[in-house]
Amino acid sequence: MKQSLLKRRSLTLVILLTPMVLLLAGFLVLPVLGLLRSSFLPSTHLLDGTGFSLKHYVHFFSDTYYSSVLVETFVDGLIVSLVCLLIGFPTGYSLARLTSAARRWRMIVVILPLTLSLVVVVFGWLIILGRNGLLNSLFVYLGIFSSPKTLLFSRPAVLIVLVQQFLPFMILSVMSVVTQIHPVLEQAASNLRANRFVTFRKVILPLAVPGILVGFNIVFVLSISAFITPRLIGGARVAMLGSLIYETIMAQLNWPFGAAMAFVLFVSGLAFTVALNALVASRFTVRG
Amino acid sequence: MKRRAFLRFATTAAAGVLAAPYVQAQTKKFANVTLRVNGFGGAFDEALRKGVAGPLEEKYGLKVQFTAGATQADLVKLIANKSSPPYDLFMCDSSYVVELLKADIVEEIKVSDVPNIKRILPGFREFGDYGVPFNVSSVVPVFNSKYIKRPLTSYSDIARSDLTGRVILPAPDQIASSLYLLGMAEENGGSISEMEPAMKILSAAKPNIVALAQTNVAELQMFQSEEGYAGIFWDGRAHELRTKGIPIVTVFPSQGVYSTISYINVVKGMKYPEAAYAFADQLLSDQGMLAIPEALRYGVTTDVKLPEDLRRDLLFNSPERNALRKQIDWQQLWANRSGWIERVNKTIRN
Repeated sequence: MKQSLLKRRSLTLVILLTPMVLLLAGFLVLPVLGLLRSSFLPSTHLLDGTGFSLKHYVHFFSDTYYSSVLVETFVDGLIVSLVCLLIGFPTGYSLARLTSAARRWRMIVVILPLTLSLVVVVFGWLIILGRNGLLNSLFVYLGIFSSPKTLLFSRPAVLIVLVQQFLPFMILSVMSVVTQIHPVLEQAASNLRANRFVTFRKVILPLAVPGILVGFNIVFVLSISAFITPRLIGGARVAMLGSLIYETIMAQLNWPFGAAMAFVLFVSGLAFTVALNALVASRFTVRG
Repeated sequence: MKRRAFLRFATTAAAGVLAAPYVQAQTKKFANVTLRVNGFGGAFDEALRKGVAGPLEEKYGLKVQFTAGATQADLVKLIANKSSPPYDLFMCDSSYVVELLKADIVEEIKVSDVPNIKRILPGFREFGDYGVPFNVSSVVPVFNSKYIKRPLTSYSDIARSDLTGRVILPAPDQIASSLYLLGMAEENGGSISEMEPAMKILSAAKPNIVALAQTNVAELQMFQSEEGYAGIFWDGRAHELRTKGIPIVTVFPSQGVYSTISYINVVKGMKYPEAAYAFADQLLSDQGMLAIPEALRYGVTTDVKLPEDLRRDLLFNSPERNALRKQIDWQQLWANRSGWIERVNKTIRN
């Protein structure tokens, strides 16, 4: 009886998972394998030719320009993720502690930027940060600037726009976990004479780690693979690997080198997030 | 006439009147034929609809369907689907014709197929019998006369010390970038195979460069919002800025101008070559040729007589000026371009 129930459950599981597995295999795993293969083509052109060569990886790692762009991309990803965490945690926490009715409208405000096209958002920022834009006008009006200044086409501008774009992911991740932490735990800590900071450090933070990690990972991965924002807001002066990959594939038509760069970004991003997760898990997980 | 005969006659006459336009449409040479063309989008496609597709439909019943997109992406799509091409005609600039020829996906177009080819100006058909040139876009130095009192005179002038933090250039992956680099190289004793002088100018211009625009629209907005006062831009786009009230001056460098030509190419294996030739012929006719200059002020490729207001605005408006259009070895440019992009990235971003 028990065995047949288990059998039925595993069959249901297979049926439920099959569409997703097929979808991922067909539209993610296979293309990624194709990408991997093309990164080993000796050609420097479209996907013509055959053979096997490591020349694109050698080119990437032997040229300090590309490795420095990779490092800069990771640093940018970390900055964006940390800023999102600093802003997103209090917001996510406060949303989680609201009643569902009170949360509804605030949630719409958080999610609203995600419903807009990225290009629209970026062009909006171009207008806000432009020399004749809102921010310059405000600063000139307040006497902070004597005349309009160039705020666009710099790394800080790119980071600000990336934070704005990816902040909702952090808020939602934190909120979803904090809603699972019962307020009674905070009251208990308070009864045991823990102040608010100690309660946060000893109770809330360890329990919210899974949400923070998920949010951090999502924001980090999205940031390091961003290419529209660095290209349009950075005015091509801010190097991020995503925009270099786009340029190599779409403009130079050098697919093999673009594929190699994409794979380096993929593997290093994956390694970084796995290492980070392992580190955080070892710090916050209590082993029985 | 008897009542029955009258009714029969009246019914036949009415049916005839009603069916006439349909019958006429069916008898047109290319009725029920639709040509699929990749488009550049916006006013460009609109001008072609008005000056080429519209008259063709009226005359031959031929329909033309433009699908706007990025040329690079369309090219990749075309190469990847050789056996079942998504377009019948492929519209692209000179640099991409090199790729089309390499991929062997376009047909030759002879003067016997498209009689108006004989009207093309000398030096404006760069790939022998391949492609029909219909439009010239030039990359030229430009400046805002409201802020810049000492006019620029050459491509290399972007490195002038009085332009610190004021120069906007097209990004290195734009074909415009390859053209101005070539201009800077040749102005300083270099050549397509010796670009060191251009890279030196670019290094010197680094403090001047406020941004490298990733798209034409982005560059247009940068000039419009006065992020920069000088730079290098397409001649047609500079005209567009003037129509928006920005006092942008277009410079005609005395040592020559670097341009790219837009071609229409007949894709191999397309079903209606005759319709494609009719399209190309209409494109090269007076009506077709003037469509884009009238809308966007890009140059012409044939001996069409330019109305005075148009002539004044166009960069290539006389045989003397036409002679200053630099001939470019596109094969070599395309082969070297990847290295140039890498060099520019390293120079500007480091």
